[in-house]
Amino acid sequence: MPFLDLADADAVKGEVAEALQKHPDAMLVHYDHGDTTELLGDNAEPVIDLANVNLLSGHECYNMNCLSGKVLGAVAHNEHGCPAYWGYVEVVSFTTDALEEFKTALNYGFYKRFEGLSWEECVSTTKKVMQQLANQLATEGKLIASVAMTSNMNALVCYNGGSEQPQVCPFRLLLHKMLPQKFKKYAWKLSRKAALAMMLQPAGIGFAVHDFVVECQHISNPYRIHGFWWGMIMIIAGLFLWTWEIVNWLNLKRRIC
Amino acid sequence: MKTEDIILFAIKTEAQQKPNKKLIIGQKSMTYKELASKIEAKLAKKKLPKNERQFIESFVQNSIIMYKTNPTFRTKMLELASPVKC
Repeated sequence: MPFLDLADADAVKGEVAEALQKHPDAMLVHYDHGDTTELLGDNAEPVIDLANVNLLSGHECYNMNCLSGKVLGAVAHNEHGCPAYWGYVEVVSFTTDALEEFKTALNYGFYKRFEGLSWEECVSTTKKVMQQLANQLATEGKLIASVAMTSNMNALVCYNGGSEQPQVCPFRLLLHKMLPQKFKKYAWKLSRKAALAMMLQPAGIGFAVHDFVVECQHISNPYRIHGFWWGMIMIIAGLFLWTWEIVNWLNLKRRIC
Repeated sequence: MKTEDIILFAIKTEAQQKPNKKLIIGQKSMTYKELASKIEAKLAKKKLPKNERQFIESFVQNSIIMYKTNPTFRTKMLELASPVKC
């Protein structure tokens, strides 16, 4: 089975795209940092993201990176015909007092696949080994390592059309489909508060305008609760949520800088 | 004593035993001592940066689950959390 390993010196977007197209049956193995929507290559630049996830069509993917199983893996498997995506839905962690155990656990699935086991067997045996190692670490008094090992075990996913199906928010998936290519990543980064604010404001304007039109036509009942006020409440709540989100975003930016 | 306190004591003891060992979380790393102080801050409801808070919450949550479901882990944790034996 041929493999493409992005740890080469030329692990940049264009080179990777070319290599994947040149070897349509190759397996992609990624050992570096990742995020929910991207795999990072040289210079911490994304080599695979939602803009070129279609490149994973037909390629099995083994990832030892953080979070990429959460969105990228799900989109690659569900939308773009990636036959198997091995990854983690949370941040991968390890400790320096149990490096050998973590090496064994994080590479185990790859070795097993190389030996010819099916993805289903690989993931089940890897999880078993991780559980054994977590118990062994606990017995040795390495409790932090044991917790990290268990967290990795819980975060490991393998989407291969088997029993494990990607859990993706249907609203985000819909937004992902609706947005143009350049803005697709925002479908996965938009917070729930911002989404709620986006829905509240037009709905509030709708209520207020409708009530205004009814009032203008003099067909209103003065004893009913006026939609205008409901609309105003929704608009103000939406504004408040937007302000909250922007202040949080600015705070985060300041902290990063 | 609450489970969270037992976990904190055990982590503190482990941090004292291995001051130079580190926990690597994605692109960041912290010593066991820093981890213990962050867990302490979280349990005291002090403010932590969002990404650290999420990790510490998930770490404590996983520790609680393991404490309740894994007898080996529970025994070792109680051993580490108990006062020094003479």
